Amino acid sequence: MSCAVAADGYRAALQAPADVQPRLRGRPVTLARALAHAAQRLQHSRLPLFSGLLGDLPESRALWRLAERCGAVVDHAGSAALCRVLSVAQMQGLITTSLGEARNRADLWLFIGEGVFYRQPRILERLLQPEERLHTESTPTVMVLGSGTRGALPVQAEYVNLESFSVMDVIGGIRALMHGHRVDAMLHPMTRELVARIQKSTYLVVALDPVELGDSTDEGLIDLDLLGIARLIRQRNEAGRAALLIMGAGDGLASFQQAGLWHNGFGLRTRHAPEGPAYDPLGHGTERMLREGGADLLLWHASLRPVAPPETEIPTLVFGHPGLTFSREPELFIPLAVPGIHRDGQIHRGDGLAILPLSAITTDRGSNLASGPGIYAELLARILEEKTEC
Amino acid sequence: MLTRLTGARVYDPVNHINGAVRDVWVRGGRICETPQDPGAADRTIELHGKILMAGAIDIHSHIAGGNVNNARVLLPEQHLALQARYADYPFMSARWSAFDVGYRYAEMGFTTVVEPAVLPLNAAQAHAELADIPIIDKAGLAVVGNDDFLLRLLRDGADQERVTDYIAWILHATRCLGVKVINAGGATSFKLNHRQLSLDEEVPMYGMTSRDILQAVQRAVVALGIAHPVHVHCNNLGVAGNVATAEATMEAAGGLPMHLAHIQFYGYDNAGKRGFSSGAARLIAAMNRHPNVTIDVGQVLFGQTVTVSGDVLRQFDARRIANPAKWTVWEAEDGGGGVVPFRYRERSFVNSMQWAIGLEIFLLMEDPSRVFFTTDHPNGAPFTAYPELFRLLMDRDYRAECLQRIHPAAMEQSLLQHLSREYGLAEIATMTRAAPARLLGLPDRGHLTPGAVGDIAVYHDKADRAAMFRHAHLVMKDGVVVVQDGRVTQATQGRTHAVAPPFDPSIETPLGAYFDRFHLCRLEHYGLRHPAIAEGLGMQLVLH
Repeated sequence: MSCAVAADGYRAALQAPADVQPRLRGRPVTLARALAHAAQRLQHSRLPLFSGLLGDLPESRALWRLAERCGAVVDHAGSAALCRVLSVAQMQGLITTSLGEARNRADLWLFIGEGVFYRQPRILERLLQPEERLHTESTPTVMVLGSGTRGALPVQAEYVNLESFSVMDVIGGIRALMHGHRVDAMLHPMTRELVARIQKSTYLVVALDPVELGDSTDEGLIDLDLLGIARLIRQRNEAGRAALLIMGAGDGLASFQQAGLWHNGFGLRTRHAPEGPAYDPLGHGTERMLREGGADLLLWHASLRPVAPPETEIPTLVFGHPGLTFSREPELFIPLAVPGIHRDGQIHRGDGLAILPLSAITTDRGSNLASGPGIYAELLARILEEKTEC
Repeated sequence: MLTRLTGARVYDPVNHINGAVRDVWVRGGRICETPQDPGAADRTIELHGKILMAGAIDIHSHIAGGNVNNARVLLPEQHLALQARYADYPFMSARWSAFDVGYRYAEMGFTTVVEPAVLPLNAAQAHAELADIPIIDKAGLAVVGNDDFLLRLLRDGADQERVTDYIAWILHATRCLGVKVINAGGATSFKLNHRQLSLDEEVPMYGMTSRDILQAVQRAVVALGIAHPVHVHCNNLGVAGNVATAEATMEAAGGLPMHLAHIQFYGYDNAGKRGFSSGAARLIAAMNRHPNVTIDVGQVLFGQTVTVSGDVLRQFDARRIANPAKWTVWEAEDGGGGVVPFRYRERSFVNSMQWAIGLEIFLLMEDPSRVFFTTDHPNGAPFTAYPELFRLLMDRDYRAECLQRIHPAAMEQSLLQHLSREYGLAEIATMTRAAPARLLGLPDRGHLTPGAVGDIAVYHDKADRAAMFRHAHLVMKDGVVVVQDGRVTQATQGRTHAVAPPFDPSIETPLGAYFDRFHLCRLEHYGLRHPAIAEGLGMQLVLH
């Protein structure tokens, strides 16, 4: 079975017009003119925001270097949920596992939320239903803690409907019972069963796409949910084995976060101030930077998929997928080769451990498209040489 | 360009030059012969009164890869290199970045550094990061010994030749300079809920012992003729009484070459009322019985740091001493790792003993070519603390002063008060230049023979050896001046070194089948095997 999400991406790239030109204020211009304009804008921006970042590792490395030179804040369009997880990691740490280890070792899966079954159907099939696993011939038990709003699940799983309970209620109840505490509060009816399953398991994987916690209007509650999950896993490891599997880091998020870490020491949501990088995992989020007026220029990168930038009043430079369409034309648009379609590329697996090749599948159509890493290196060179006359 | 470095006192143990004033000539990135006509120099650099050595080499420093990034994630408030920043090369103000690593090493006159724990699954990332470290040359050691394919081979009684082919294949897939075994079978055991694994304990589900795995890998390394011996992180790291583990591991080497990493963490005996005492003398006695074995120290220096290790089993055990109280453990195909921040304190008896034991090992080990200068960065201390360690080794009065500040019970027990040895510059040049080049199989460095790479470090001859080694007066990398007066003046790109021993390609048949059965990616997408990965990482690869 092919992955519907991936198939959409290929279709968008292959169906995009092959002769897309760079556009400045809606008018076609040469690439040189477009670059000169971008360089001039970046040079004169007080606080540029680089966001989107749906790209591959070479684009990531080139963009980090450009961001440092421009004093930019760097964030990924899909980083909000990851940053919540990292903030919990930074408070107390985490015990995590990889996609491959979860596939081979989990005998009990506990999914927090069911949305991931719809967002990543293919990966779940490969994780939950492999033909063979290390050291065992049994198939894992899959339990899903969900709100029951999406109907039947596309996988065989035992569904735990949260009903009026929150994730925190259920996880807290499990932890209290595992500690042997007397619990006065009302427990979710499945709590004791969940405890029994966990205590019987040899390798529990709690799978979480942090986006699943994003419905809460109170961000503090999300952190408490995450803290509770992280503590449950630590608690279980005192006697048995358990680990968190963080799902959902698609669209180059892992490549931008990992490369960011080795470039500036902090990763995403960092501002490259002259005195040194400044990390602010809440304040440097894209939405907040745009909403609260911190940024005066948006550089939006989206080469993997045609995802348009958020609407904003500040000048916007878009570097991305040739199939991008805009409800409001950005100041500048430079179409880029799509990694894995028009050029070879590399991208991190969702868990950030392996880097996978993206081999070009077409070389004729779209061969005139500029490559992201080359464009950003060129921009950096122009800025370093102050060749910014337009 | 022909460059003449003139007037410095030269320390070049390979060429038996021990402080004599000599000219050193560099042309086209290499050391060259003295020309007939000294006036032929395009450039003459006057170095009267200075000390000149080949560029230094660090054989064990965790500078790249996913575990280092995990440490960065966990500790945004902690920076391991806090010197003032200057000038404007890329990411120069970004402490604890890949860039910072290159600049700081270069400032101290180090020109080649080995990342000792490249998990094959993560090899592409490690190499991308290494490629971004400026100036210095780099290499990685591939981690084996918890890889299920290898353990299955051993369980199934595969021939040693098959194991050897697999190790060669791993080196090919990871583009590394050698292999490292981290607590062989330990990560596998931890995944199966075991919390401890000694050399002769069986790995669950596999039936062979940690010793069996280590010896099979060691034999493979010997059979392949790789210069760098198997690089071993022993069992029982940090446990009182583990000097016996180190002794048993040396015995297990069976007379074949073996390198034991950060041996200070295995220098612990269990005598005394605290059940924790120095095993340094026992270690050195064992080293004297086993001339086939080399060690690096993994010196502890006081202050805040973070421990970063692929020994997931021991890192999990260290969770209770995390300071600040947070820690990360992660598991991955064929291994895992843990990040535990830690503050070594002079007021702690155990930390004081660790500090003293490391120094005892350095000072008791007579042959400086078998003991290597490391802090196991960042585990014992960040590499930026190296100047302090040079001073401790070279200045007994300073050492005695420091000894007065440690925990009194540790001070009383320590042999240090009886050790008056001071390392001289020739011994430093052996330990940080000549010997590591030989140990790594990089014959073109670590010395100043014509034809050697033009990696040169020049220092002020200061009485304060920490000040001397903190900021080199001049550093050349491949004949290019990259540091002047302790400041980076040019951010060049160094190379990445690896070996590529041949192997029987038929190993890829069972490997491919194994990947299809148990991995999420195909064999040809693993590590750096795919051209789109290998050619896209931006490294300048040198195969040996």
